[in-house]
Amino acid sequence: MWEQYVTSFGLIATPQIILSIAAGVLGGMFIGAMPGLTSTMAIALLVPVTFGMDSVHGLALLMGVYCGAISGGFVASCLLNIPGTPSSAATCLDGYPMSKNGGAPRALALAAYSSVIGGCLSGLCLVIIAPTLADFALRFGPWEYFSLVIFTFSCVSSLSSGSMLKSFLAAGFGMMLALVGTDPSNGVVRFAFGFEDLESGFNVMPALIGVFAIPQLLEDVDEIGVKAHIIEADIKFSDFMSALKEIWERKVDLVRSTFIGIVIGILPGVGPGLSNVVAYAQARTASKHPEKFGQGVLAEAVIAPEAANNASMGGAMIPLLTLGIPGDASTLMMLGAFMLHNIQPGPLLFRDNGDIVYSIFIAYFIAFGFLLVFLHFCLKPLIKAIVTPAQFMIPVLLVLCTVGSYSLNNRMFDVYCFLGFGLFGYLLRQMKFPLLPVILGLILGHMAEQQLRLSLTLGSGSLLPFVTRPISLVLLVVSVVSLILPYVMEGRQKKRSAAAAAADGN
Amino acid sequence: MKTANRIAAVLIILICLFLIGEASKIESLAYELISNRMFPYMTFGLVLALAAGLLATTFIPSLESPFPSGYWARVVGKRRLITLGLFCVYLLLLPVLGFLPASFGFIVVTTLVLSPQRRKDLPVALALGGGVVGVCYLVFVYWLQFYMP
Repeated sequence: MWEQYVTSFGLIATPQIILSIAAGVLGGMFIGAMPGLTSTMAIALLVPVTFGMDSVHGLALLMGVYCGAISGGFVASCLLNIPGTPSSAATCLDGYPMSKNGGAPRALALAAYSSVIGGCLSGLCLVIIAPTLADFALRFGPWEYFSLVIFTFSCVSSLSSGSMLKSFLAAGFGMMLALVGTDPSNGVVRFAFGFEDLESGFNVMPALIGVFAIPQLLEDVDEIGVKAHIIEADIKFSDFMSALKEIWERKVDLVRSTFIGIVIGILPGVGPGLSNVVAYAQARTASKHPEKFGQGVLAEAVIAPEAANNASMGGAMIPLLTLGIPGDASTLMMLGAFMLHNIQPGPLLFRDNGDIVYSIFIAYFIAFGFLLVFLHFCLKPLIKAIVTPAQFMIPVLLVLCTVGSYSLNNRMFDVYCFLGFGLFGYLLRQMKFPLLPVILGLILGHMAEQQLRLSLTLGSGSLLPFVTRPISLVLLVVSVVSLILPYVMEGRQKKRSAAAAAADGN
Repeated sequence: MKTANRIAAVLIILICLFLIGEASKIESLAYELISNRMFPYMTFGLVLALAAGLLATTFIPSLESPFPSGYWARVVGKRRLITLGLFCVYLLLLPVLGFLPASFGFIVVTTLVLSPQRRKDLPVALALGGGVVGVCYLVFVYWLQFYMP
């Protein structure tokens, strides 16, 4: 394994790649800091650019963007009370009051260091867990893979906000779209309706960019003309040092939040967007002064969400690299980037493309190194950037997405797909359908079909191996439990509330 | 407003029924043990059942509407439609005019149309249009050697 690291370090330690990671972190930080622009958008904009690079270079750049974008979100949370990315939503709760009470440098420094430490700790978990899980996943047959797809969809549906029925429907739409084009197992063309361009199916990247970018940008149009009131922050090096001291004094909160972030990151379909809220709630439960949460007094109220959201990054990379299952929308984009470079994430990735995997690990830590440096020196321009008027951002981002979609295959069809998927995504989002399952369905639909047909062929048409093979059975049982559990917990919560209300009445 | 969900469910059911009909036309290969129509049937059937479930929920009187009043007016808001319209025009003009003039024009026009202070934003829009188009051209054509529309 160490030889792999040495080889991969040799691959990545070139001035171009190191500079690309640095540029990716910086660019990601700026995009992540701007309210309304997410880490998913940041990666979406950069994926087409990596097409012309070799795999290691391109993926290292995207790791930089990913790290920067997730971390940049706290600036707007602390100074504007608007989360830069959904992953920093809980940071607003105490980061903004802290800044409002004159503690903006403290809030920013606490968030900056918690982000870096949480991210690095989760990176260590990624490095330790991923190769072991990949080894284990080598035992998977088509039955296990199909059950894994079922598990992913059930997880996404039960954990996503809103109606579970709509989540499953969204996944179904994605699977339906995956059916368009040539059947990979026998070459028969289906659902192309006579359009030659449809015979090769939908390209994943324009679909991904369209579904996530267009709905977001159209909604951002409403923000034009809204005056942002930003809190002034004059941050000094001594602020960072005192924040580091405060974090050390609250190391238990930091470790707990990091752990929460990693676990939630590993679960398919949810990531930093949920982990920061859960970590904040847990920090409050564990605190000796829960009544002071929300007042901008306690350091742990800022540390917990920021450590957790960055920790989710490493967690989300684990299922992506080992099983080919993305943990959240950003890793879904990363999966698209892998596919663009003809790399199939999964257990065989460690055996066949070990140099790439270990390069990604190294790029992850280099990115956090750069992040630490940039957070010390680039916070002032970052603060200025978050109030960039949306009327300038929206057309520029639409042009960049268009160029990106076109450059993948040099055909306008992909650009029209980008628009089509964007409108479809906008319609679904307004109808309160989650968008992540659509793209998961589009990507995993092929895998589900191939593995189901293979398993039925190997089992002579029998479905029995799905429940007689232990790993497949466990995955299916967990899928069913994950679907039932939210209802059971909701029922218990209602009972408890009713009992509490009755006790109050007495 | 359960009507939106109801319309969506009915539409999905109709699409699924049409696609099930199309799936029956997929050329079947005699040597295959498992029919290549099986997975499409399964997928459309599942979506059909889920859409029927969604339709059923719209008849439950106690469930609250997920859409607050005024919601749909915002969805088809003037600014959103204008942005979308301008973008569609841009995509239509892209193969005709080429990337450089079409993109420059789109950035400048969209910025000015959306801007609350057009006169003040004009120089920024022109600089932004030129800068973005120039950087895109340099990165994609010179550095990465891609083609542009």
